[in-house]
Amino acid sequence: MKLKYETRRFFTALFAAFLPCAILTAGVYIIYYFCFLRGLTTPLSYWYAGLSDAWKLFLSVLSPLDMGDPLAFFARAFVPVYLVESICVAVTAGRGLTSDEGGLSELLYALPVSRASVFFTRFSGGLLYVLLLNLLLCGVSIGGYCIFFHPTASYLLSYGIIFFRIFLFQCVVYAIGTLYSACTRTSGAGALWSALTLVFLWLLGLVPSYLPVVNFLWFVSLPFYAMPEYAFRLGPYYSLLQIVCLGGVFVLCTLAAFFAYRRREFPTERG
Amino acid sequence: MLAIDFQYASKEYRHRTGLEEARFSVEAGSFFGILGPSQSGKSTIVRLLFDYIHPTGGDVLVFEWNSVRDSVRIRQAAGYVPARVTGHSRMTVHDLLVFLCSSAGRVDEARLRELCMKFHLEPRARFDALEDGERKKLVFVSVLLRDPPLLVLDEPSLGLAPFEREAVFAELTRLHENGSTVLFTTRSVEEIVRYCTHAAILQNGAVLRAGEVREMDFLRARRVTFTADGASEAAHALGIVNFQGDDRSVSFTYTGSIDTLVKTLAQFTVHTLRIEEPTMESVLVANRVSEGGHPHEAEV
Repeated sequence: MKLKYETRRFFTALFAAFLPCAILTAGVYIIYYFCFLRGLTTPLSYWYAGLSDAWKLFLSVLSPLDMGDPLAFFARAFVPVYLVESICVAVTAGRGLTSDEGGLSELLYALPVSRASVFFTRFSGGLLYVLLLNLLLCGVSIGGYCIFFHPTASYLLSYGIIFFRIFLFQCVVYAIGTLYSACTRTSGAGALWSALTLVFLWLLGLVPSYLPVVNFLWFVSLPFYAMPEYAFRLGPYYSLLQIVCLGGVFVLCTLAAFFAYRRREFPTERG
Repeated sequence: MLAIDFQYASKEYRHRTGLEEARFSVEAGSFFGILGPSQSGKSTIVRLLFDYIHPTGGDVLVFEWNSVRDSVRIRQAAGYVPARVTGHSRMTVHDLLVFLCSSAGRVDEARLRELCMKFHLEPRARFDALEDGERKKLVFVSVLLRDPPLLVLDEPSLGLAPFEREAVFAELTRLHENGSTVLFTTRSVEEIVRYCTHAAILQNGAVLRAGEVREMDFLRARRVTFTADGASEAAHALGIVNFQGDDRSVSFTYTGSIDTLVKTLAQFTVHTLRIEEPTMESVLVANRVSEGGHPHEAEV
């Protein structure tokens, strides 16, 4: 029954994130549909060959931005969905441990359940939440791609691997958000700090543009993950240094969050 | 055997003292009340017991287990009813009761239905649709279903109708008679005098008194005001030294028996007489007087 309680919290958070993502995804599908309807002169043929001249001209202008790959331009349409999804992950993580504090969790903590079990149940549930969100998003975006553009399997694999990278990155963001959740007095503050951290990492990822010495920092910027052309052209894999960085931050934040949560007090001061 | 032992336990919040070197114990099997005004440290005591907060000094032991290190064991042996049950859940009363009792093994469905009926709870009602008092009764029922040897209630009568309060205390009295230890916090002097075997009086985070209720005369402190010919003489006849008023009208805190009061006043020509039931204020004043202080030094 404790599982039922946690499962309900879990799906409430999942639905809260899924809804804006679904709305944006529907928007992308509508854009795809109009591209297909007005741009492709011969549907179901190889997509680029079937484009009208006007669209070919339009994409040739945009191609340099997408490293010469016009298909990446369409993949870019999903960028706002990744961003919204990542913000949802950060906010959910920032509220994860404390969103029901002062409410039913007061009863939960009166039960013979250790803080460790509450922490790890919620944390692992959070990682599952991140995985499910990415699987859903991967499904709808690849589905849309296939329906409208008929890309090759290797192209799809490169595209799909983006979601794996986003998943790993979001796991780290989730660990950081959980640390905030364990340390802040209110769930709102935890959510805010988590979202601000995402923005900070975003800006940090821009530093290599001005300071090539720290070139390896590119991977901390979320928009980078959302740019499919990099996955297409540079390859979908992390370097060892990047893996160590991400893994280190994940482990350290998780451990710090656990110890902070064990010492956490209910913030309300009462008589 | 001690059910609860506060060993110079302190709790400092960010801007104030929650509890200051509290030292008192609760014997197993006693009906223990903690009386104090708002912000006196009552909830701090309860929250220390369940490790919601950690002491900044001293130790809190429950059945000889440390409240921080052995908190899971303590929560296994104790049931807790908070002052207010807030939050949102679409779970039904039945599901929440099963959830809250799952740690004690399989729930006795027949007993669950019986208790729901007794406390006027609809098992199929959703938690979100319950009123404050009903939510509190739900948690109380969950504690009764677990049947722990120690029950801790934070202001149990808060938010309950008088008849519901009676039902809750009747159940607590039954449990106490069966050997359970009951500890509750309250602002009502009447509840302490009526139900408790032992009590502690708190003010501003300090434990002023702790012990047997029958030895705490000041808990029966009533505010007495009367006008009479020779009023001050009447007050002196009652043994009252510190009183407000003059020869026509006096007002004082009285801890003696009503019988003595009436019989003494009968010797005078009394025009008006008002006897107020013991209040928090009168109790704190009487306690200060019993310790040799001046009645007007007391702050409530």
